[in-house]
Amino acid sequence: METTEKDRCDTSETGENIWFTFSRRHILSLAGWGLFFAALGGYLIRFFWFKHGFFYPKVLFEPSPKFTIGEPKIFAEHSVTKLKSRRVFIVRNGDRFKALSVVCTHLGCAVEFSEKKDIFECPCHGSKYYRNGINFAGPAPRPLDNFEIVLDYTGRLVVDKSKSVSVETELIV
Amino acid sequence: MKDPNLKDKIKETVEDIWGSVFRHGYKDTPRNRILQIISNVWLHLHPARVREHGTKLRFTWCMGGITFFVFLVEVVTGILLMFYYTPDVNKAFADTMDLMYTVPFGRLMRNVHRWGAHAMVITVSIHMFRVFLTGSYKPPRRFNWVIGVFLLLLTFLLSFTGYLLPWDQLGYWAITVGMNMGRATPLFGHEGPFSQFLGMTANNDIRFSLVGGTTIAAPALLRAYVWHCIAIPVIATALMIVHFWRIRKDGGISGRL
Repeated sequence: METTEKDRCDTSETGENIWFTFSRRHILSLAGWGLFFAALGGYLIRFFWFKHGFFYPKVLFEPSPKFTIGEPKIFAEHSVTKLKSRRVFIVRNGDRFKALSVVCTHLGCAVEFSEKKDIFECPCHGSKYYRNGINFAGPAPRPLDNFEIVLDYTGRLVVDKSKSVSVETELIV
Repeated sequence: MKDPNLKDKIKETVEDIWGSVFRHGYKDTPRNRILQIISNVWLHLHPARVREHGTKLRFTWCMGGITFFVFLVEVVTGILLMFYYTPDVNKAFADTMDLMYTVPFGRLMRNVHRWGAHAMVITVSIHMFRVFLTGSYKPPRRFNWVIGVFLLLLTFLLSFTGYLLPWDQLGYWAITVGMNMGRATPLFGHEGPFSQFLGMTANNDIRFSLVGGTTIAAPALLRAYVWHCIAIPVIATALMIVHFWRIRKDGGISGRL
């Protein structure tokens, strides 16, 4: 079937095709649609925008990173205590305290403390850490994270997992 | 990089990719206008040609189209609400309040979903009213009217099941009342007529199967959630596909045949 000139879409009175011509006749229509899609696009971008969009909740129901663990005397003189739900080890050497993360620095498994060998060992890929958290074997690239540990005014220990401190840091009570 | 044909090659590649997506260029001929519709997966359910009176708003009121649009709005906002809602009796109400007071745009999404639900019941009713007034249920459109009646019922069921989900006093007692009416179902409700022939009791009748127990509790909430978010929308979508397709098969959008 051959297309004749008659078949063409001559929808406007001037015989021009509305799809490809911007005539003054359509300026308000185009402006209207343009504004509509601009506004819609603006709302959509704002809705899905990072940090403040729909997928970034403002209130979380996670345990606080800062928590009280009790008086120093509840930890034995020379001990490593695992607080499983808080995912920290409290290491006490005499009057010195450290709070170490249980998360292996290799791929994030939970390390275990071996009383017999006096080291931390990761069950996943065999990383090993000394009692002070320094890595010495296996694939772990750096020491276990050290969290801030302080005494509050009532004489109880408080750990803040949102604050990391250097490997040498100890709390002397 | 000094290939003199580079520009042509790039142009050819772009046209190749474009042509693989859009098989037909747009030369505005009657044939292409039809191909545009029938070779598009989203539009091919529709008739390729519409009679001029079919576009007259005074005749159709566009209420079926608006109902479908509102349904799409409900799908989008509903999916977004599902990201923050847990169908658990201990969490449902707290999650709803969370959506209202802490989630960015959460209140907007919930309100759009709720008002959209109200709007859909209204527009679907007006659509049915118009079809009745214009006699558009007559042959050969009889079957499409029946599908439409089922779609109306599914719209009501979507509203009903969605009512329980916030797990607040309003929804809880509304569902309690509504489900108690289910007891009076003939044959299948244990307080309904003729139910003694089937040996219906409170723990084996139709209400029991809808609520998942003898009282409105955790199983009822989960069932309402699954019916509301998955089962009924899937059934309604399937019926909508047939409904739209039958418009074409029955001779196009309303008007004399």
